Amino acid sequence: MTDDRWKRLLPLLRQQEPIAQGEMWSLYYDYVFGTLLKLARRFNSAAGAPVPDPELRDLVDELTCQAFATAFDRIDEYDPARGALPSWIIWKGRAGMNGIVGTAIAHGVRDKGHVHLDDELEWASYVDQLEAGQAWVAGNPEDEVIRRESGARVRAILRDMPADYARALVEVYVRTPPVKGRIGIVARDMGRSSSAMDSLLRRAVRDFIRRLEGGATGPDEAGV
Amino acid sequence: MGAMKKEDDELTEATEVLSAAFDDAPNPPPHFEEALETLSDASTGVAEEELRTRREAFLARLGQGRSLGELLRRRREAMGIDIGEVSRRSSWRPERLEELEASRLDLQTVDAERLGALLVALGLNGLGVLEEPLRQLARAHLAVYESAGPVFGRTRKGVSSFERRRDLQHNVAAIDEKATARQVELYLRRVNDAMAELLG
Repeated sequence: MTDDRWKRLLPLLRQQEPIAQGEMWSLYYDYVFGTLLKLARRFNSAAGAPVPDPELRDLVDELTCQAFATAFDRIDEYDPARGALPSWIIWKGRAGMNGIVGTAIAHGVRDKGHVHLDDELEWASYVDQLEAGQAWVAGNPEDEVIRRESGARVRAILRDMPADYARALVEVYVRTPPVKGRIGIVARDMGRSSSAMDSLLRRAVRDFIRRLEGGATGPDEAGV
Repeated sequence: MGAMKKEDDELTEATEVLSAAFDDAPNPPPHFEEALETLSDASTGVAEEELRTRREAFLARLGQGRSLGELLRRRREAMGIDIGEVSRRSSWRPERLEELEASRLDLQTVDAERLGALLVALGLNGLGVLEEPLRQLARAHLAVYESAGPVFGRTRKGVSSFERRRDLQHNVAAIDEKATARQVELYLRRVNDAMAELLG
């Protein structure tokens, strides 16, 4: 629970007064940074902790600066009846978490390398990963059971699909955490435009669903 | 199967829309603070020294590109008080306050203790954002020159005393950087001490 020293500063903050902004920062930086860091660590852990903690602290520091700056700019939107000002600043930071921290986590995960489905060794490594499960894939024990049971079938479908369909699905939905803009991140890594990647994914998803529903077992007739 | 898939897609779409709306909402949902409380119990394990360094970096950014006078004027205006009122609260003469706000006041003529009293009168309990602009001003006004013997010059209208000092020493004596830095830090410490004493 935070104290209420911010109440004295609020009238000055509403006038964009820089000294009061500095006082607000000095009083609540530790609280806001600490809370956002705890949230970011959970996020990072859930993705297998691809971002080292010192780097995560730098990212959260950037996020904290952004949260305070946004809060100062939009202080007119703040309604004291709906909660304490420091909590509102954390809310602003939480909204930016996917952008700053999420992107770094996605890149961190992806920096481990691409999956080349035509390479047997890479394929074996991918299968290991799929069987080990990524934390963001399995949300609860029930999902985990379903995932394990359906894993073999999914792998068979992916192996039978055209290679770039399978790779697009794996890169976006398995190897990249569900953060905003993940299709764009993967597109850049695969040297495609976002719209080309989006189109490839749509075709891949349609093909995957058709195979899953017991349709085609051979290569997609629509071509790649 | 097809109908179920359509339903799933619609559900996913609706969830994404809700999630985006949640992220973009200007205010947190009810019980957000209670949720934060569960997080705030545990320590982050980040060292105090690291936190201090991070805090100060942003403070310096907030004060960047702003003069001490401008910041003090904005503070006074945000408080809704005029120069006369600040003068009454701080025992500063109104014309000196005007000079300070207009960045025309020579810091060499301002006691650090009196500046501390003024800052307290403006509701401050520490230098905060003012620290960097004050340090820069002090570097210019309290510069210590390497000895070059006495240098004489006339006062000129429209030229402040610190500008005159600087111009007289130009090409005559170099600034003693170490002595200046000591002078500046001493001045800032005295301002801080004065504020601490007044605030009890």
